[in-house]
Amino acid sequence: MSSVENTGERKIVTFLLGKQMFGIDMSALIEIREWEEPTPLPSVPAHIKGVTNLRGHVVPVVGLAERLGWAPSVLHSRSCILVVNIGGKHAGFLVDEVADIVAVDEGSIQPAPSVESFESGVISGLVQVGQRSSEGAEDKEQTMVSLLDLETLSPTRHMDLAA
Amino acid sequence: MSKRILTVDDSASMRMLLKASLTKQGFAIEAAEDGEHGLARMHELNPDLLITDINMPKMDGFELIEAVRQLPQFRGTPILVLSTEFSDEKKSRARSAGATGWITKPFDPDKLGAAIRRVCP
Amino acid sequence: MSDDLDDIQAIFFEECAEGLATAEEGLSAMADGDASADVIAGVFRAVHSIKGGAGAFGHEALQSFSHRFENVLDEVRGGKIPASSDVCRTMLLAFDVLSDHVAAAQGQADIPEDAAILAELEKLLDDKGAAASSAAQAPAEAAPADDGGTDEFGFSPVTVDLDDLDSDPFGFEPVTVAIEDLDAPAPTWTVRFAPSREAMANGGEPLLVIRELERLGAEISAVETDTLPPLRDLDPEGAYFAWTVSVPASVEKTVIEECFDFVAPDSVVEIAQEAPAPAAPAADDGPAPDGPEAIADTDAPAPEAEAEAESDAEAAKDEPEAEIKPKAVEKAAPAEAKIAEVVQNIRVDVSKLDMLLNLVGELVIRNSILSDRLSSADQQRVELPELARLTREIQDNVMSLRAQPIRQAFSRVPRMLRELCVSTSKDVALEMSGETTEVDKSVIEKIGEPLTHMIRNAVDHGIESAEERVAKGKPAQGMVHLSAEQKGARIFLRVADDGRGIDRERVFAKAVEKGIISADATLSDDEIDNLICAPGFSTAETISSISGRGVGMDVVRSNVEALGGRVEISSVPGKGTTFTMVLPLTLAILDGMVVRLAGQRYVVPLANVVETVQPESDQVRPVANSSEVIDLRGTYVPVKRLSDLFNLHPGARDNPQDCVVIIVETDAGHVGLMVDTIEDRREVVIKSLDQNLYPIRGLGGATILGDGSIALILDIDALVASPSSSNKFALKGIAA
Repeated sequence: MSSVENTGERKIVTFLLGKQMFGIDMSALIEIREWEEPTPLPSVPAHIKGVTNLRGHVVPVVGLAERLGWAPSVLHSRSCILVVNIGGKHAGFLVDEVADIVAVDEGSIQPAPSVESFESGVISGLVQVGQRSSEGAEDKEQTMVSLLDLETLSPTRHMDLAA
Repeated sequence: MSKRILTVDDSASMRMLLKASLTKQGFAIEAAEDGEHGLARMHELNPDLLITDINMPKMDGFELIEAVRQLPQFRGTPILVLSTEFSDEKKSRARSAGATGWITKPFDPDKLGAAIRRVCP
Repeated sequence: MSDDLDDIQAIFFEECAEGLATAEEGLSAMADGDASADVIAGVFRAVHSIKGGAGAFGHEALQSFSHRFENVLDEVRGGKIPASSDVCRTMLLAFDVLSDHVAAAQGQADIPEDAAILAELEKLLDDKGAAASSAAQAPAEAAPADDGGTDEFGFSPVTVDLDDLDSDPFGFEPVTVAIEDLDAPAPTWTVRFAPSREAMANGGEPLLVIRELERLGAEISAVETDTLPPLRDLDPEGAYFAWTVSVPASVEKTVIEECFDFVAPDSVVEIAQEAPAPAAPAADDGPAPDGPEAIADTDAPAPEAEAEAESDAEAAKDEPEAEIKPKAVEKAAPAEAKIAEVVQNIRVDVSKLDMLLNLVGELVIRNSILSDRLSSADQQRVELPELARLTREIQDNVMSLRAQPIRQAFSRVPRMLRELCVSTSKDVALEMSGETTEVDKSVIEKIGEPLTHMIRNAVDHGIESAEERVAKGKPAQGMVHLSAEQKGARIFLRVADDGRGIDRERVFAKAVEKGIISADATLSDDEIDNLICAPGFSTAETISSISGRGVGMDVVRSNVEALGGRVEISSVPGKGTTFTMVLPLTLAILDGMVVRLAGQRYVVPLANVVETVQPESDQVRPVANSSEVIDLRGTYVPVKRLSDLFNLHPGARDNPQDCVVIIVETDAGHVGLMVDTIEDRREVVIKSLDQNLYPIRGLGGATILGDGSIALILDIDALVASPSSSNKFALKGIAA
């Protein structure tokens, strides 16, 4: 995706999963879709919820919660799928709610602590962002956002397990 | 008032190479991929110059030159042979078949252009 | 331009590949005793073209090698070297090195070591020389191609310097005599040019030489007209004059010489350097330019007039030509005749074909949407059947554009086998069949590597040493049979050897050792054979240089599965092993039956469907181990519930009478597949799961139906043969 990126500044799409705030690079985002039950696949890991038709492409849908080892998300009206491009392959990730698009300074991103409940490599970094409060008021509260490494989360990486 | 040249070579890359380098020099290039096709194109195009390879399927360069020279309208048309061959025997065969000149591949585009101007009024 | 050049060079390499294939085919035919003139000429031409292009693109090593190879081929073509089996063997080896040179020119390999084979080629030329004439070696040694194009002009006249008078053997070349005064300070050149009488035959035009010299700054100092005969004796196509021109000293001699490149034989060209320009008759200056021009006009009026007429007409090319040229009438007929015989080829970027194929796929889908939504009366009214027919035709045509004979994938095999024979010291013959089977380009591109592996496996592990074979009562020479065959929408690619077969005990032990299976596993012979495709398995006791670094059949399997195919192994101890790659004919479109199961829709490839059965009560019966069979006119056919295969709703067992059984043909014989209902029969566009996910065993891909929903396409063979089901497969083969 060839979005304009100023050096030093990254656009991040933030979203909620459970109570935690995550973020992915805006440049990887293709679209945000409403949740729609995908076509289930046989003999795939539980977090691959199936495939869906994205403008003529068959795209896998990953339950991000399950992928992170959590209990499956409870679907509700704000549940949505972030469709992303990971090295030319498309994938959808089910998240609880999209929060915002924020610009963060490259320098303000801290490396992910190595001891975490996540599998290594999933979190590429941590960053504090000013988040609009739920009412949309001007005052911003600082929130910690975990940036996800999409390469690590790519469903194609599970080929070995499934073969 | 660019000169029209028919190039006959069974290798597509050679045809393209000729076309690319000669078009740049202001010649209008048509191509054929073997002697038979070349002879047919001669009738069709009536070019100012024929440049032909020797080793080709169906009708080779010698046969093509002979066939072209037998046609009254092409008696005076210059014909250059462009071949990787260089033996005297082949050259004199080409000459007796009716070739005007012989150029050995690989060719330098500028020199080829000069050679063309040398035979092409 | 450099991009253009790259494009052209890419085409050159394609031609090299084609040329190599032709050469190899021809040389193999020669080795088998078919040394007909056509075959030899084909090989010669292929190598010759590679040489030509190599020179044009500056691949000197390739040019030099192909040149020397060509010398030998030329002698074989001329009958001076017999196409004996030894000679053919040497040429095949030379061919192999030539392939390496091509690869090197492409930057895919290092320039190969070719001294040994060149020596052998030279020896062929020498031996022939011993048998026939000793002069034969000369062409090889004269080889100017080796100097990599420093002299672009092979036809540049041989300048006869005074100290080198004995050369110029060229009938074709002008007699150029250079008279150099070495001590003089380098004043103007004096050039005398006396074209031979025949100078205007063959399209020659001496006047052009004079004009070219004039462009170099030359001035005509004298024209000898006294040789002009009386008019009644004058041959209008003869040349009579001679010119003397003075060329500025700044012009290099070679440049002057080049002007005379194409003058007729026996013409006299003298290039001399003299102190003062001869004050030759200045009075001639005026008439001189007119003279030759007048003659030129008399001699060759046609070309000039035509040239102008044509250039005027050029923009509009053919049509106006008919009016301008009186010859148009006689021209028309040959031109038409030509259209009938010449097959024109256009090279098209494959990505454009891919795009076309995708669009056709969408068209097919739109068609099925229309037929979904319109009543059959409406379909007739809008002539939908006609549209569907056209769509199908377009689709077939697009597919045929991409279809290529599988020969291309086979072409590397003979050489590989030759090399394997050398490195393993085994004697193995190759038999090929079905090379003309046409497959989609995408398939051809991707089977090369698995095929290579299978062949290596056969020679390395399958075929025994000659002594071992003889001891077993087999012929000393082993045999590998490579075949391709189309069955329905699948291509079967087999590599069969007559070697020792799979040593199941050893495979089993190895699999236990590698932790692939537990020591107490009970496996059928087939299952053991299939272990060699398990990831990380390698049977070679020492990792052989041939089969590689421990990657083996598991790579083959995953490559083939990525293509929506599968690998089958059948082996008879002591008799040999057959590896079969079963591949889809196309990776794009499939004729399928849409079935419904547990709310989902699936596509069963029609190629697999034998019949569909609505079971009567008791027609489907349980047998041991929760398996079921269907009684099909007295034959029991095993039944699989798709829901079980996919673990869709374990526990709930529908009553067979409420279901439909699709009898499918698999490699394991007929099997009944139980589904809820059959919805439709239609063509579907295959979307590879690999594109965004990875291939899933049992699925051939997915498709998007008319309503936008996704249906999974079943790979029946893999599904039925999948390990999870094979243990339940007690009745396998009953109805085969």
